[in-house]
Amino acid sequence: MSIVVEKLSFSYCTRPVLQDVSFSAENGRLVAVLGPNGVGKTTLFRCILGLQRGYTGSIRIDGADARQLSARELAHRVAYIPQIHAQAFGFSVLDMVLMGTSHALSPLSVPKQGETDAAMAALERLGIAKLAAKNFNHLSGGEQQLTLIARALAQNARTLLMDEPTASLDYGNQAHVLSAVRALAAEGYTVVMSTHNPQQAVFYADLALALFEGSVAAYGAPSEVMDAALIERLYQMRIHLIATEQGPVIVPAVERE
Amino acid sequence: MVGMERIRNRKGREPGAQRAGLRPVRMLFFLAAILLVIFLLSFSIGRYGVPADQVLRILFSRIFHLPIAETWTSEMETVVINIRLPRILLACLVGCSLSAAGASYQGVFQNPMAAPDILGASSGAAFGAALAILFGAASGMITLSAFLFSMITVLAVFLIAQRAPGARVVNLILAGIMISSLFTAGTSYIKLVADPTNQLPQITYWLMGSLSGARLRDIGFVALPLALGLVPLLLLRWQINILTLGDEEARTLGINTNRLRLIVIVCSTLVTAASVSVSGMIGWVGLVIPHLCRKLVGSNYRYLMPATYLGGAAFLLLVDNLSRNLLAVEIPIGILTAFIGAPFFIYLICRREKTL
Repeated sequence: MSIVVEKLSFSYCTRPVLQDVSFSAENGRLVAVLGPNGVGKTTLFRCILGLQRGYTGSIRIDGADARQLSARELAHRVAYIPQIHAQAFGFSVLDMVLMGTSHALSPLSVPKQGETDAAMAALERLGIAKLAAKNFNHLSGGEQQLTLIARALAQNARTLLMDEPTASLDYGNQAHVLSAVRALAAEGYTVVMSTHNPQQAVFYADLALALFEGSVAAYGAPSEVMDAALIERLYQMRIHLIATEQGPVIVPAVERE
Repeated sequence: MVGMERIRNRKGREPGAQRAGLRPVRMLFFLAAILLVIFLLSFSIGRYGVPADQVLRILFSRIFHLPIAETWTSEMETVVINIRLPRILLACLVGCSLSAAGASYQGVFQNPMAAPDILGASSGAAFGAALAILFGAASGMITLSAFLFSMITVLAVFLIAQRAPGARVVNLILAGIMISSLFTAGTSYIKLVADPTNQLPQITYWLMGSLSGARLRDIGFVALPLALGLVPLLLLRWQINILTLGDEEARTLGINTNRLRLIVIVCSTLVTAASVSVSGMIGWVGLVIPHLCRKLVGSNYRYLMPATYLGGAAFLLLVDNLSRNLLAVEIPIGILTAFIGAPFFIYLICRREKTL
């Protein structure tokens, strides 16, 4: 098991945010984390990444207790792919990706040819090597997201944590990024991805983890757990499920006058 | 995509990734060459002109002890070795320190508008110096007092920012403004009670910032703190890149952000305080030079850090030459840097969205 979360609970002051959340994923699995806004998806990620201390329960990554790992040791195991956001300084795409290799460098050194090769390989893997010399801040949203994924690959960790990788992307770029993510899972990366779109869980994920009011509402293969009742409960709305060859398509029940 | 095509066409070719480091390296050599030229010219220029060839002869003879026939007068030698050499070295060191501190603060606070003044380092140093002058301390004590108060100010700002709730970067800048104004008020009070015949002019002149009267002893005094600050900043330059991504993202990349941020802030403050304590308040260098250097070598601190060292030294040396040659009376260098810096700052505010 590459990631095992057991009975994870976290309270912010006295308000419980996560209660007894458990899930696990083997290498090569893509886990989609679903749930309404404010349900604790971000807190869950922060706990796994060691940014949020004071939780109860356990998080084990490649067999090691995440609590005992330093930032550097954690970076060897888990790579975080944040939502795209404006950077204070316009680094080149290659520099952005090179930053992923920092945990393997001595603090007083700079990346060498080996790191540059690894960064270029990551860019090539995602088909954006031609952007290497471009300014990150001048890229499109989809290209920026792919660059951040490339940085995670250069980090050389086997577990990837993605915070809504398709937020603020257009329709085509969403599909493009998700295909890339799917391909990474097929290569053996363990991917934990939060999403606001339950359809993505149906189409792309191996496992769906649905959170509701801080607890696990459902956990399992999307084809088994993603039924109309669950989705209606999570998002407090009426939907229709339409069966297709790729799986059920979720359609909101639109009431027209 | 259309914009991207246009950029590619304008440049004619897509620079390969392996060659991406070439331009910055070439720019560093370019900056070093500029610094060298200004450095050598600075010995000749002045009220007492010394021909360039004599300057070279004097320098080689006195510094490298080469057997060169003495074709210069003893006045020339005094001017070059005793008067201009200390001043030129000090201008280089102070310029280098202030711009390096500016670049570092900008990285740590993820804010391209940050400058050494932001942590109150300069106003703390000013207060310390004014206090020492008030008590009639010798010049060594003035320097030490400026240095101590500068460190106290930064420590206070850092602790307040850590304790206050909310965004740490904003807190830090706000705390800097508060503490700065407190120490500026303290300095004003000292000026009020200072003896107007000798102490007040001394304080006022010191606050304006000047490199005149530089002695080799001053350089000896600041050499150690400057080295203690500048060397680690240069070595940590790649890690500073990662700090610019923000605290949490940097931590997920395996960086101990609390420790790194503290080291960078302490080093930057050390060099700011040390240089302010020997040269008075020289503003704006820490804002202007890192920006110009970003234009030349890009945002990567791997190249930006050495570029700010070279660029800062060249800039302040150039401005110091203006300050002692522009008018018959020497213009305090702090006034000149403000005349250059303030318009530059306005220009940055008006156009910053498009850049970086």
